Amino acid sequence: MHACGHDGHTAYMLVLADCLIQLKDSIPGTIKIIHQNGEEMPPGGAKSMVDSGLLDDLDAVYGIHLFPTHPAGYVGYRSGYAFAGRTYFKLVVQGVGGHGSSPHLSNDAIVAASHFVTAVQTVISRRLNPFDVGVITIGSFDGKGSFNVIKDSVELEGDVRYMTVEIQELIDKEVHRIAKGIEVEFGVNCELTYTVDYPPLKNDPKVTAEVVASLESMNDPDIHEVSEYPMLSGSEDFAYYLEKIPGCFFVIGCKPKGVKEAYFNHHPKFDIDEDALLVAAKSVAQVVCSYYEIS
Amino acid sequence: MLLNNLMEKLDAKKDRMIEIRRHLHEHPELSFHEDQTAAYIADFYKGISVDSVETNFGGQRGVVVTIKGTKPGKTIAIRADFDALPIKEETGLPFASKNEGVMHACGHDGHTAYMLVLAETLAEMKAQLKGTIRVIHQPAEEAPPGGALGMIKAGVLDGVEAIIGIHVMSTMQTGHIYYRSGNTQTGRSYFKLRVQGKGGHGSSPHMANDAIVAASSFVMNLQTIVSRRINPFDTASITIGSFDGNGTFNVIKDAVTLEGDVRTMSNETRDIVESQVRAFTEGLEKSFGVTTVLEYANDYPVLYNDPEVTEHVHQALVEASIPEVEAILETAPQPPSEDFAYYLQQVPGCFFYVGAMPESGEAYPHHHPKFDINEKSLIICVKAMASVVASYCDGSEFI
Repeated sequence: MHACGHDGHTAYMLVLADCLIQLKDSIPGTIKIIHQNGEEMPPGGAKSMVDSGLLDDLDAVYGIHLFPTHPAGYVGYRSGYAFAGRTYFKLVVQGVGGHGSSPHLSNDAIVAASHFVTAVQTVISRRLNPFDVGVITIGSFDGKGSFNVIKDSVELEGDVRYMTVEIQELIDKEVHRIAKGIEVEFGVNCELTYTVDYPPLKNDPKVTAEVVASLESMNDPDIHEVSEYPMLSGSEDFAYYLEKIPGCFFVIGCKPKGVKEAYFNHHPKFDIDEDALLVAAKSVAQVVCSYYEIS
Repeated sequence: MLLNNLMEKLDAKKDRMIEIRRHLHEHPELSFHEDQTAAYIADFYKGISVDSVETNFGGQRGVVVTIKGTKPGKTIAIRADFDALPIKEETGLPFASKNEGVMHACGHDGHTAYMLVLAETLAEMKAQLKGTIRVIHQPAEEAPPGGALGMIKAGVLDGVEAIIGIHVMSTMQTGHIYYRSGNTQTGRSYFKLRVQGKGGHGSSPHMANDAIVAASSFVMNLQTIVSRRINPFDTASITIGSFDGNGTFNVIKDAVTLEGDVRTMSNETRDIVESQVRAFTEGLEKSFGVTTVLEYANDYPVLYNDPEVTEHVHQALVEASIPEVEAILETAPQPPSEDFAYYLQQVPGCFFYVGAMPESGEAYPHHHPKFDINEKSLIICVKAMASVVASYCDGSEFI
């Protein structure tokens, strides 16, 4: 299912590209249209686009995302960090199995792993600047066994979100340290697979300011509101482009008409107001024109 | 006289006994599902002149064999269990489990092997026996409520004056026999705790209520019951053997189910642990805002060896001078629980231990995926039990 609006992204982009091709003679430069695959699935399609050298001769990059938080006609922006970065980790805690009545002859992996889960809470509560944003979730604690058999090993899987690279590095270091600490404290072996995935998405402040000024100067009946959008804890592989060159990724409202609370992206009932497609096309066209100072 | 003949016959069956043990080891079955094992035991007795073979005893796959001596005497029961465990075997033995995920990791294969050979041999020697020997092949020792209760309900102890059982012990030196009078093995409680939080997306913890964090905290809090609430001279052990919180890495888990095991050496300690587990469960609801469902059941009781019978067994073992036995020693209380304790609540008896540490000296504890026994322990088991049976049922002086 297209439950994230990528069908809308592609539709507006094809039409916009068509128009730009027709106006080629008045464009003093080169526009690359990136139709990108694999955004939803780590490692993401953007990474290989960047690695291929696609961005090497570019000066700026732009993108939009449809979100049903606002009605069609809304454009949202955020300067600096806007979308969270994401990390996946897996921790295998290997103890020694044994009989429930003889704890001294075994080494209980469930106790060690539970301690890890509890200890990890302190990364957010005690290590992170209270004004910074970070989330650690252990979404899977695979320790099913027999009630009277001491569990020999447990597998945890977790998800980390953060709004800056600095927070990512801090959490990375702390989670590794706690895993090592569990080895020392409990005498178990810890095997930690820590995969830093989409980076935090950071909009270039200068480019974003230009985009905002350009959109605010528009006098278009289809665009009703341009305002700052809150930080999002979701992740987006557009962040890889923005690591490479300056740019701006902004939000186009697409809440279906007559709906009080829209189903959010990735919901089986997610839908968009198709009027948003024109808003997307016009907004990006405006940004392109402003960039080339074409009026 | 009887004992000498018994020993000679048993020596001749040593290799066969090991073959039987290996066959059982290769084909383990879970508690309350031991259809093939029960059938194998019943088949074994075909053509053997025992007085009766009762199968599916108590409706739970038990096999009870009666051997009557030609002369009157006491009725005694001897018991061997035959179930296996939900463990994936990692011994690498040529006769390792062929039933994936199930393993004889507690030595019940050995118990059954020696008991079959002993029963067969006793049946051959009925002319020299007095009294009645009831051989109890018991299912489901490993899983509550345990097979013993069903056997007792179905009347397996009717008329029995004493009951004897053996456990092989991988952690005790082969060649040693251990016994203890009075309270010998722990009593056990079982509990299951369901922690219900609220699921959600990994990036929005404030919209959800993480059941894994609450359950982990519970596991850690429980550790303080033994360390801070129990008299250091008393015995208690609490294990969370199952933490079922399998999910998706980026989805906050809505619910977790824990299963735990408690061992104690007295009813008083058992009650303290129960009230503390209940208190921590209530506290968890308050501190994490989760809801909980706690099932708590006291099952196998403390195993109590009758002092008189135990002394009788000790004397019989000493007098038998079994050549493979180097020492007969008193043991400290044993942490595991045993549903043999139920029999001992009904009739006096003794449950004792035969060392079975592997030749290598590398002993994995019972229920470990690499658990193994020294097969030399089987001849010791069978001769030890034969000695005890002979001490009650030697009718040869009548000849």
